[in-house]
Formats: sequence, structure tokens, C-alpha cells
Amino acid sequence: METFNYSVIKSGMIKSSQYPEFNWDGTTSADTNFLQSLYEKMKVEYPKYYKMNELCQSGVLSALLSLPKNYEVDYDPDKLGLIVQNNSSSLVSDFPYSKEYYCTREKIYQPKPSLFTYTLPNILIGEICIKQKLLGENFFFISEEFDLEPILDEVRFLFETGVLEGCLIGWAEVNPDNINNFFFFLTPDSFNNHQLGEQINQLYFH
Amino acid sequence: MENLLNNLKQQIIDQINLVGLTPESIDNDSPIFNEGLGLDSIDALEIVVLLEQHYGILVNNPEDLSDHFVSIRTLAEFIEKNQVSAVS
Repeated sequence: METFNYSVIKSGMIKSSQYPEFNWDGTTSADTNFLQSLYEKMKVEYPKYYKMNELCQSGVLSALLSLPKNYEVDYDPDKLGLIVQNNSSSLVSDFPYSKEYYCTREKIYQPKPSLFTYTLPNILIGEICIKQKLLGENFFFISEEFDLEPILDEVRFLFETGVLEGCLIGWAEVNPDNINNFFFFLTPDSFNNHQLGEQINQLYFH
Repeated sequence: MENLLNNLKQQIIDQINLVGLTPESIDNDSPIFNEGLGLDSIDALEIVVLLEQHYGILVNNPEDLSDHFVSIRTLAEFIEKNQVSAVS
């Protein structure tokens, strides 16, 4: 039994430990835009959502599905942290950006500012922190693959030193054809569970 | 007018890169900025570019547009009155 909240958003699957009403196994609908469907089902109503790229949209939804229901009351916002990893950084926006930037003899065509804004991966943690009011430490790591140990070490240190009281952690890998997000929320008590690392890896890899 | 409204919505979606929105999902009379579509001052400049590119409307002082930047409908009415030629 897990001792932490978690969510999985993949192309073809949605799973949330605390919002099972949004779980989806991909077989009940032929909806090609399942992220938009999830946004509507969750009744988020955050106009800025539509300006975000797919990395940020899916990350914001993953955060909503993973944060404890009363986190704004139960935790000091200055002690809520966010750590996210992925493999392909912000390539989901970098490629369209580079495609739009080209020169002819007459003119230099520059990409739209709305596209440029999302050509850094840490915009994802910015969007989540602004929306959810997570005001503590935050990091974005680029990693070959989901790498739990260094993150758990960092979070344990931040808990032991009193810097954080809660931390949302995520793997957010998004490309034009696929989404693979896995987010979970840890507190100092989570580390009392001696199988914590095994349980997290089990949820991610299976 | 209906065609202009739909074209304008699609052009705004493309210009500002509004991921997941369709013209049908945008209300003609909802606010464009802050609540509603949630656009900001940088997006306003993008719309100014759009007005020039698609409708041949040159805007020297974007602040003069504030009364027309209320909703899709007010923007379309402004285009109808000031359109030089349909560029695209």
C-alpha cells in the first residue's frame, strides 16, 4: 500500500490515487485529445492553460491530480517544493520554434513570442508553482531516464533541514506523439516507509 | 460577420498558439484578456501583427485599440470598419 499520492498521465492511460473518478484505461473512448478531455472533466477553468505547450498542460494536470486535496491549508506554501525530471527538455516547443525561424534575402522570419516562451523546460515548474502556489525550492533536471535515487536524497535532505514540509516530484516526458508523466507527493513521513523507493519505481515501471 | 468572427478566432488561435482550443470553443462576447481567453500585453502585440498581416490594418499606437480589444466581436467590428484589403 502506497503512503503517498501519485498520478500517471500517459497517452492512453490516466491514473490518480486520490481522484479515481478521472482514471481512464484508454479503452472507453476513441478521443484523440484526451488531455483536453481531462482538463474539461476536471473543470479546471484556468484561461492561461491554453497558452501553454503540451509539456506544461500535462504537467499542470499531473500536479492537480497528485497534490493532497487540502495542501493549501495543511502546508506552509513557502515549504512546498517541486522537482521535475525529463529526458527531452522542451523539444516539444524547440522544434516548432526552430522551424519558424528562417531567413530569406528580403526578410528574417522570427517565431512568435508565444512559442519562444516555452523553449525552456523550467517554464513547466514555473507554471505549476504559479498555479498551485508552491513557493519553496524547485528544480528541473534533464536525465536520460527516470532516476529516483538522487531526487530522494535531495528531498530527504530538504526535509531534514526543515527547508521543505512537502514536495511534489515528477517525471514529465512529452513529445508530439506521446505523453509519459508520473508525479507523486512526498512528506517527511513518507520516508518512514522503508519500501518507498521500491514502491515508486514499481508504480513508474509497471 | 459570422465568417469574420470564425476566421478571426482561428487566426488568434494560430498566432498565439492556443493549444487545444477551437473557434467553436471561444465565445464571441467573452473577454479576450485576463479572464476569458487569458491573454496578456504581449499577446495584444501579436494581435496587432495579425491585424496588419491578415487585414492590412496598420496600428501605430496599440493603446488606441483598448476599446476594441474587449471581445472577439468588438475586435471583428473594428476590423470591419478599418479593413484595407483581405491579405489572406
